Amino acid sequence: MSDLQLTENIARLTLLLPIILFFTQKSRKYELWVIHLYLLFSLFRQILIQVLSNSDSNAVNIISHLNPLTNFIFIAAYFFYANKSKIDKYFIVLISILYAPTQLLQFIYTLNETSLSIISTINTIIVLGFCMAFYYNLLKNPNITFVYLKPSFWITSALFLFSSGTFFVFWYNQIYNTNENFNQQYVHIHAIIYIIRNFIFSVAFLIKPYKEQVPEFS
Amino acid sequence: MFLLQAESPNVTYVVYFGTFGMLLLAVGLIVFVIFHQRKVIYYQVKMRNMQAEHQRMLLQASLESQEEERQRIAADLHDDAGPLLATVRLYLNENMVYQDQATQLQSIYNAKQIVDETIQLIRNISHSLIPPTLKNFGLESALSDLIQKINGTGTINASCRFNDYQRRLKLEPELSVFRIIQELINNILKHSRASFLHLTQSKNDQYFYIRIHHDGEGLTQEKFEHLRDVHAGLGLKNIQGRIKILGGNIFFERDSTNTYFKVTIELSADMVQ
Repeated sequence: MSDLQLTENIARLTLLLPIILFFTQKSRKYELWVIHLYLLFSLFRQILIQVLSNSDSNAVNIISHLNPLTNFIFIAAYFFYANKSKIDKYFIVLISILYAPTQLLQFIYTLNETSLSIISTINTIIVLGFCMAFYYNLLKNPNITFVYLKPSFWITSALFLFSSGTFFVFWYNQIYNTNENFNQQYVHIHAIIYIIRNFIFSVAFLIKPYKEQVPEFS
Repeated sequence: MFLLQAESPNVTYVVYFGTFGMLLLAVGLIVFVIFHQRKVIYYQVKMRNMQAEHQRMLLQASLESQEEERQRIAADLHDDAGPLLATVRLYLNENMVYQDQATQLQSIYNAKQIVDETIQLIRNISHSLIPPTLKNFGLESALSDLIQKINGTGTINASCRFNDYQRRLKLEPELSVFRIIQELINNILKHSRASFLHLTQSKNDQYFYIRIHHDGEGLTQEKFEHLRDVHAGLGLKNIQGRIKILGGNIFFERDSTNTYFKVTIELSADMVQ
């Protein structure tokens, strides 16, 4: 097993940690369920890719191309449940309805590599936008308790770090996937950020349910 | 698009630095959210504690005032009514000892006089709790009565004018307003060295106003808030407590020409019967 494969496998294994820790969380709100299902789906997809990679490259290609769309649907669903403001919910639904079909188009018509890069980048920018809106709402609503006692804050932070960290590698991935050096760079950066994301998801699932009250300062 | 067209070695640097920069920005933003929110909560808690402390002081002032009132009534009953009733008892005892009719009649007459005096005393105590003029004829009459008594002392020129008091305030708010004005006038007499005092009442669709003007050393809003919040300002705390119960406002102002001070009590027009 090469170094590259080892890094990838370690990253994949860390996916199990938040999946297991989810069951220790007492307050399983809708947004936590969405993330849990998302992680289960990711695990299932990776197993499927591993199984099919030697026999059916066409199926692997289809699964890989559908990946940005499925990710986007899960993340949009998460933000839909995590945001309390109705305007934000409408905004998320509207963006998802407008944006999801464009991803489907690229899958159906198989656009050129540069277009795929741009679509992936837009995907990341939208997720970053959702995260910013979530943070803005947290700061706007001073009645809630400390943000780091909210599982959704950690989940959003994990998504925010992942989207920020993988922004450039996703951007260049479609163009330079034939370049061996870039591929190595891609795998290393992606694996490290993927591990960080899964650890932060685990932290979110470990946080005990909080009460909506302002704590005492000494 | 420029970055997408970059050469391969350059891409490595762009990706490394870009990723590092993006991560740094993301971490920075998360840290900012945490600290900013902590700061907001800290100020919120501080504000809440201050409000709680203020409430506690108002409550304490109200309790102290009640206690003072009770002590005053107890003293009046003990020092005035007690000896009078004891004297009546002596006269009645005397009646049981001496059988002489003339002495008996004299003794009963004396006892009756003292009982009348006691009744008057108890009436006075009762009137000090709720002035009968206020209860029977309303705020306008009660305040006119008060102003007349103040004028009678000859130390200050006091006057009062009600512009629109066709409909009285409800009894409880009326009594509270009367007590507030009593306390304000008492403060003016005690501390301001004013030579005139003028009380006016007015009303519009939304609010009911009572204003007191005087030319002595008065309070501004800041000074009122300061004195109200220190432990010594019991009377001012009572005023604030009563105003709060009435859901109204009180404003202390100095006239722009520095010639007089003005206190305005603002109540909701819903308080009117």
